[in-house]
This record gives sequence, C-alpha cells and structure tokens, in this order.
Amino acid sequence: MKISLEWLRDYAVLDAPLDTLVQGLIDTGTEVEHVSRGPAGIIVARILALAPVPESTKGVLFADIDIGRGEPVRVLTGAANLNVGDLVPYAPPGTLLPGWDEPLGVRAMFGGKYQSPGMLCSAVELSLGEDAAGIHHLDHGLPGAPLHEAVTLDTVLEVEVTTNRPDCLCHVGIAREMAAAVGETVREPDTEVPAGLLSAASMARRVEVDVEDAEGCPRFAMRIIENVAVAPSPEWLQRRLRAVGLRPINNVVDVTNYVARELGQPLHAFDLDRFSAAQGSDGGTPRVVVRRGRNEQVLCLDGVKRSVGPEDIAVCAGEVAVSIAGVIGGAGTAVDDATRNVLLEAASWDGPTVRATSKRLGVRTDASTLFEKGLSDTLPPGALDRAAALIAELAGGHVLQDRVDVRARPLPVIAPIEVSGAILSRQLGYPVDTTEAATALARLGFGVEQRGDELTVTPPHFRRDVSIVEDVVEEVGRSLGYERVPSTLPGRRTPVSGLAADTPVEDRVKDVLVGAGFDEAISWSFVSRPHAAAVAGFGGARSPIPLRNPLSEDWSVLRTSLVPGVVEAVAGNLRRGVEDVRLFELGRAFWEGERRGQVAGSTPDGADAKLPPLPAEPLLLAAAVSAPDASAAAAGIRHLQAVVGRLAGDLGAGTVDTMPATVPGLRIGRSGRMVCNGRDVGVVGEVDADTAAHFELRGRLAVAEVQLDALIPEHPAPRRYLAPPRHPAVVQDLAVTVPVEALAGDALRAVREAGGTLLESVVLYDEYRGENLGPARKGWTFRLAFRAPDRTLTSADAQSLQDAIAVGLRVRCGAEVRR
Amino acid sequence: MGQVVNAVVERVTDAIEERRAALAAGGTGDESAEAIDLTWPPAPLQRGHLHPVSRVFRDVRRIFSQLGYIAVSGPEVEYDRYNFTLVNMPPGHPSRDTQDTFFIDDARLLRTHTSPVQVRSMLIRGAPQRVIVPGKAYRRDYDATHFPMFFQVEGMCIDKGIALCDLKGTLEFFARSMFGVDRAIRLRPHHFEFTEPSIELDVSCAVCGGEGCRLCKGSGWLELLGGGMVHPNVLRNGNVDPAVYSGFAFGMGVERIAILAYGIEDGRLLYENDVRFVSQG
Repeated sequence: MKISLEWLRDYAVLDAPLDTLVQGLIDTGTEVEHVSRGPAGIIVARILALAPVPESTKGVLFADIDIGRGEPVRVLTGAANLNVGDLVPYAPPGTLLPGWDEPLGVRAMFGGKYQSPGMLCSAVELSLGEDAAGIHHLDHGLPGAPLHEAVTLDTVLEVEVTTNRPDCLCHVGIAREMAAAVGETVREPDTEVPAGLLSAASMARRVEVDVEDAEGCPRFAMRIIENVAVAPSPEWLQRRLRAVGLRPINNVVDVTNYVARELGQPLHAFDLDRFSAAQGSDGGTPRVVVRRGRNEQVLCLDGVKRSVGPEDIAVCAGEVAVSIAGVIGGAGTAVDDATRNVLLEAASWDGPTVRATSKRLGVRTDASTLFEKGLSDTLPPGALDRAAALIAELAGGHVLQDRVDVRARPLPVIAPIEVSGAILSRQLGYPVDTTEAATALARLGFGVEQRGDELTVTPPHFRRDVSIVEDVVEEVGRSLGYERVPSTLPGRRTPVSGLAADTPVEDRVKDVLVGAGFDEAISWSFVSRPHAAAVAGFGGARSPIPLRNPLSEDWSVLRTSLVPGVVEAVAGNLRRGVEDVRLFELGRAFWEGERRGQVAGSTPDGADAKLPPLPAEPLLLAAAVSAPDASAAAAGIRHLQAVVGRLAGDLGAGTVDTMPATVPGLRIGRSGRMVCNGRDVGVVGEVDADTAAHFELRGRLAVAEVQLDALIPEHPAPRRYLAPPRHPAVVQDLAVTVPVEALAGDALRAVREAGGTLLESVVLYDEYRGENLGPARKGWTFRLAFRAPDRTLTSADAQSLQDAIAVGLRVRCGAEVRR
Repeated sequence: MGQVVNAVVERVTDAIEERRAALAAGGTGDESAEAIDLTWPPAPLQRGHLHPVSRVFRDVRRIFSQLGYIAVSGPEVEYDRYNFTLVNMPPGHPSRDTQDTFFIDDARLLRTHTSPVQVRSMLIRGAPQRVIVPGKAYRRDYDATHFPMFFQVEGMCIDKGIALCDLKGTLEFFARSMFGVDRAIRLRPHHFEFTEPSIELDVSCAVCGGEGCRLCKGSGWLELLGGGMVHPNVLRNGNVDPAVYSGFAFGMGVERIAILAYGIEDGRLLYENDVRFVSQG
C-alpha cells in the first residue's frame, strides 16, 4: 500500500530524516518495500527563445533555456505548449527519471545533426500528474534552482502490512506507528461535522434503514449531504490521491477514497435520488435494506453484471439489490456530475463473508482488501462524519444534522489485559523497565494504568488483534527493539527417553546411491495423468489422487510412483546432450486408502475419524541408468539390482530376489518384481518402447523402484563382527548343462538348499552355449566354496557335498553334470 | 674351514633369495625402464552427487542435533484442521488466502507449511521437547521465486521458562554455524498466527558483509526465516499447558538457505534436475 509522507505529516511531527523514519517503521514491524523520493536532479529553467528545427515536419523546436549558469542551453522539444518566458522543469544529462532504467544522456537527433542534452519534462515524466501532452509549467522558481523549491515533491512509501494489522492500512495508522517509532504521538484528525455545515433537517423520514443480516453487518451508518455540486476535486486532494495510486474522479467519490486511505474505513456514496428511483414504483421514503443476496443481478461500477447469492451480502433499495456489500458498488446508484444529494454509507461487514464474496466473484477492491481482514466496528461513525464534512466543504451543500447508526451485532469489547514488568522480562528474556513499557504502549494508543510493576493495558478500539498477554509482550518487545534481547541457548532438561543420535535412513540410502555413481534428482510430487499412466513403477495399478485445483494439467494428480519423474528427468538430461545419465530420487508417493491407522499425533478428540482417511505415504526410491543399446541396458538393470541388494543388506533387510514378471511400461522379458522376505518390495526392468516414445527418451533406460520402508526391519539385527575362519576352504568348480529356459535364481536356490551349512558361497560365473550342447541346452559353471568352522574338510567331504548339489540341480532344473 | 664354507653358502643363498624376490616382484633389475609419468592425470574416481537441497538438510540436521534436537516428520497430505485451524487459523481467517492451497477435497490438502507437525509432535511427545521437521510443503504459486513444491525445516523447542532470548540465541547459533561465525543477525517484528510475538530473522549479507549490494538490495541484510514464541492456543491444541510451558518455533525455506549458502543465482535451477548443475556438489 502506498503511503504519502506529506500526508502522514498531517497527523504527527515527523521531522526526523527520511532514513530514520523508514528504519523506525521497519524495526517495529512494518515492512517498507520501496521508498520513492520523487524525481531528483531536476532544475527550473526559463525559456529564452524558441525556433523551429528546419528539418522537422512535426513541429520540433529548438528551445534555448536559462538554467542559471549564464550561458543558455539549447535542447530540442516536440511540445506545442511553450512560450518564451515560461518556467519549466529541465532534466539535465545524468538525471534518472522516475520509472526509467537508465539516466538521461545527450540525444542525437535528425541523423546526428543536432544534439539535445537532457530534456524538458511533462507532468507524467515527473510523476506530478497525468498530463503527458505538454511540458509541465511551473508557477514560480529561479532558473537553476532544484525543482522541489518550485513544486511540492512528495515521498511515497510502499509498505507491506501484516494481516493482523488492518488498522495500519491507512495514513493515520502508519503515522501512529511511525510516530511511536521516533518517540512522537499521533494527532488523529477531528471527525466532527462543523456546525456551520449542518442543516437543520433530520434524517428521520428521509431514509429508513433495515439491517436484516446482523451476522453479515455488525454496524451500518449513514448520512445525507444535500445540494452538493459535483465537480473535480481541488488540486491538493487530487495530488494526494495520485500519490497513493488512486485516480481522481469527482469531489464526492474522491472524498470517500481519501477518508478510506486516511482512517482505514471504506465508505460508499450513493446518489440519493437514484437510490429512490431504483426502489421502483412504491416511491415512498427511500428504504435501505441490508440482507443476503437472492441470486439477483447487480450492475457494478465497473460495468460488469454480477450475481449475488445467499453467501453474499447486498445493500438494497427497497427490494432491489444495488450494491455488493464490502466489495463493489452498483452503477445505477452511483454519484456522477448530475448528483445533487448524497447518501453516504459507512458500515462494518463480516470479514470472512466479504473475503468469500470477493474470492468467488474475482473482484478485489480497496474496500474488500480492508473489510476481509475484519475491521473494528468502532470506525464507521467517525469516518462517516469526516467524509460528510469534507464533501460539504468541497462540494457545497449541507449535512443533515443527525446520522443513522444501526448496531445490529456489536462486536465484543476487548477486555483490559493484566501484565507486569516481571512477565514482560520473563517472556522477552531481559529486564524490561515497566515505565518505559507503559510509555511505549501509550504512544501506540493503548490505555495504560501502572501500579508499581503491574500494568492494566486497554487496547485501543482499532486494535482487535490484541487480546492476550502475549500480544502485549509483542507490542512492548517490538517497540523497545529486539536488539535489546540477548542471545542465549535454552537450558538442557530434555529427558533422554525417545532421544538417540541417528543417521536417518534417507541419508544412508543416498550415500549408497551416490557412491554407486548416481546423481540425486528432485521431481514434483504431482504429475500429469498420461505420465502416471505411461509407467507406473512400484505404484502399479493404483489410481492417483487428483488435486481439486491443480496449477495445470501437467501437474494434476499426486504421484503413486517416482518413476515417471525420474524418467522425465533422464530424458531432459539426454536432450541437453548429457551422456550416461544415472539418476535417483528418494521421496514419498501417495497411495489412497492404504494408510493403516491414524497418523501419529492425531488429536485425542477423535475428530479425524469422521474425515476421509489420509493416504499412505510410502518412502520410495527410484533409480535409472541410461544406455545406448540393449546390452548396456541389461548391464544397467544388473547394476540397479546390485544397488538394491546392497541397500537391503546395509539396512538389515536380508536378500532381495528378482522374479521375472510383466510390469506395465517395462519391456517384457526384461522386467521383474523384487522380493524380500516373501514380500514384494519393488520392480526393476527396462523401459519399453511406448514409454520411451511417451517421454521422448533417446536410447534405452533401465529403471528400478523400491519401497524403502519395506526394507527397514522393525527390529534390525545388531551388527556383529566374527573372527575370521581358522580352517581352509575347499573350492571346486561344478559344470552342468541345463535346459535353455532354466533360471539362475532357481538353480542357486537348489544349490544352497543342497549344500547346507557347509556351503560357504556359490557363484554362477559362466554361461556357455555351443553346437556341442545342441539348441535346447546351455552350460553353467558354479564355483563352490565349502568350509567347516571346526575342522579342515577333506576332498571326500567336498565331493559328497558336490554330489548332493548335483542331485538337487537335476531335480530342480534338469541339470546334467558335464565331465 | 667349516665356518668359511657356511659363510659362503649363506652369502650365495642370500644372493639367490634376493634375486628370486626381485624377480617375483616383477622387476628386471633395470628400474628406469619401468618409470611412469606421474603427472599424467588419473581417471577420476566416479561417484554421484547429492542434490543441494539434501546438502542443506544434512547441515541443518547436524547443527540442530548438536543442540539436542531430533528430526521428525508428518504427512504431506494433511487435514485442513491441522494445517490451519490447530495452528490458529480458523475457517474464514484472512491468512488462509495468502497460502494458496492445493486442495484434494474439503477436508484434505497438501500441507502449505511444515507447521502442522508442531501440533502433531506435541501430541506425540508432550513437553519438554526439541524437534526439527525437515520436509516438503506445497503452495499454488509458480514464478521465478515461488515453486508449487518446496522444502522447509520447522524447528520447535518446548520447555519451562523458554523466552524470546532463547529463540534469538538458537537462531544466531544456527546462522553462524551455517553461514560462518562472522555473520550478524537481527530480529524484525513480524506476524504469524501460530506465534506471539512473531519475528523474522535477517542475516548480514554474505556478499557485502553489511555494506549494501545487489543481493541484499542495498540493505546489508538478507531475510532468512520466520519464527516466534509458540502461541498459547497452539500449545493448548498440542495438549501442552501454556501456564507451565512455553516454547519457540521457527520455519525456514531450504531453497533460500541453499541459494544463500551456495551462491545459486536462480532458485529454479534447484528443480530442473540438470546433472550439469547437480554434479558440481
């Protein structure tokens, strides 16, 4: 919100340097985003001579100007409103004009034939007004003098006010904060209507007010100003409105905007005669009704027709809705040049209702921005009187002597808060001087009664955000300055139960992946439906949870698998020309209907039981290896299997076996399920051609996804170090032939079962195919190591074990020993 | 005589052994023929790389674990009441709008901050406790500096007699540990519904050291995080008695820390999964 410094000075002595004033606001909690000091470096110039540029067809002139340096300066100008003797603003080279990125230079014109050093400025170029047509004329000033000696230049602050402080969304509010920060006190404007502006007539019988919706409208106040002459506002008012970014309209509307920016209470002005007319044929006393909408149309001030329903509040002329309360007024009852009598409204509207209406209609106005934050119901009468008096003063006419003021639902009065220097000191962490705290609170408008260390603090009527001790602690803390707060670490009394230093599983997993050559990816938790459907990873057939309000179709559902994101990330890197991409991602997916039990830390009232359950959020790991061809892709799959095996071992989960299986999105014959302790924990394989095409993937891609929480045993076995074996191993090779369809996993299981405890290890290290075996057989060689813990095995022991293994292999896999 | 013979035999045997050992080691006796060019760069040892966000998480965890904090988590799909109502933003509260929320249905949403874990952790662990909550949050906002998914670390300390000075000290310890011991901090008053008083923490600019530069927009300070003293209503919602216990809480954006700590010029790089970017770490 834009705040004019000149305007602020109406309410407080703010003579400190600008930097001090701005820093004071920042230090006490009002963010100042930008300070616009007006144009700097502009000087006053007097036109000495004007002559047409011979080459110009558009009336460009040479202007010789006096800038107080003796020698005149010659600039070029296209303006048609200049006469010799005029005083005008001149921006010399090097000036940075408001809104320009670069300083002015010397401009070469007409093919470089003439030079124009700097320029004469229009009102728009100086942010002094809206007139862009000609050069701005100055009333007075000495040639060469800085511009601010000739015109009033305002400093405008762009402030950001937190949602709890709607009282600061106006000049009096900011003046109060700024004044308090520099040790001054604000003087609020006198809002009473001067007797001279009042007429003897009363509101009675001139208007009836009926607030049917007390919930939506805690307070509704009105005044009538008669016999006004609508005209442009005086220059001072126009300038102030422009300074804060508002467009002047006429003296009635401008006053309502001005008072809103002054006091933080929006107002609305109706044309009283149009209001009566809108009421229709009954023609009696104008009747103002505040009620909920009845799905009726209101033609708004901006020319748009909008419908108001039961969730909106309408201000009605009799039965006819003419204004959308708190958001935007109606066109049919608006004030314009023909208006003679003004019906002025100042109301309190229910914040959440205004917020909902503004959101639903997509209309945010100055008024709705204020009302939605929940304004105090103490504001309307003062703002109403202030505006009525200003209208009568500027537009003539008289204010009827009384006002209508309906308090349909008085907001609860904020009770005084008992606090003490001891409490303040304890909560802020340093010894707070009670009297100093009391003074600071008083400057902010609080009523303070001090009895020794005790304070009774009554928040001012406009501070509905202050109601508990902690709120007062904040007011004192921020006023006295947080630089006074020392830096300490809290004492250590936390019980050790439930505390243990731990390397989180995520970190251990990431270390394994990074060590294995994978870079970490982070992809969005939302995906497009086509991506989710193209490759489902370990998410399988689960249907993804749709977002009600996604940012785009590309991000419309929650992921059930990390694979689509990782595949897309790999594809992007390949497109960027990176080769051999290895990526992994560790994160959560969302599986609807699979959460068992309530989330830890649910409220004991059981309120969640009535709500749809939260989805399960499995911790998944997806990894991918890009490959130029089929054999590299096969190696990639092997590498992924090895990584998962390593992880399962490190986490204490045991071994992971892969079972060939059809996995949607992965190549048949090159995909499988990963199983650990009899439970499916993941999938692995190579992306199939359709999926590759969907993701515009170059080359081939091996992927794997495992559910990490399934690999973390509930009671991990403690780490053990055993003494190295004392007896030698007997190592033998066993060569067999098996049918070509035999699976290594089956064979190795058979070997281990038959080998028993004396088989220390088995490696399948060679596969052989050849004409001598025929097309139906392949040759395998196992390297077997036998060892007993308590004796040296004889070759006879080893032979009998190998024979048993050969029998097992024959039974399970149809293996024949090759001699 | 015998002694001389033995000595000769010994010497010959030693010579044979020596030569055998040299041959076994692959030597030819001519060592200069086996010289290698040690200035030839070795093939680099290949490994992958953590994402910068993961690095920040590790640093933050390490720093707070030194102060006795444990890391906890909560669901990313949350109930409206935990995300808003229980952290002092009842239905209709204007601050709900500022948090552009992704909704799933009337009751469920993607959490807009890690703060709901404050209440959940209080309900699980009671008082006293010290936790940090590293995790994802979501807001319906996407431009050069806002991402629909982002990372936060929430921190909370509940105990008897916790005061604002403890929050300031803790954050100063964090800022100095994360960004260097010569960094200064300042607290600015701010407003959050779930803390009272509320503050924002600025840290002195790394680039200019407080003189004012482009990064800090001339102020000498960089905004780092928000926090405050846990609001009594939030303590009550966590079943902690505000008459006995008090606490502080804070929340920081991990992207912001990464940008400041690692000099990342554009936060969008963190979400592009470009290995040429990630593999610098």
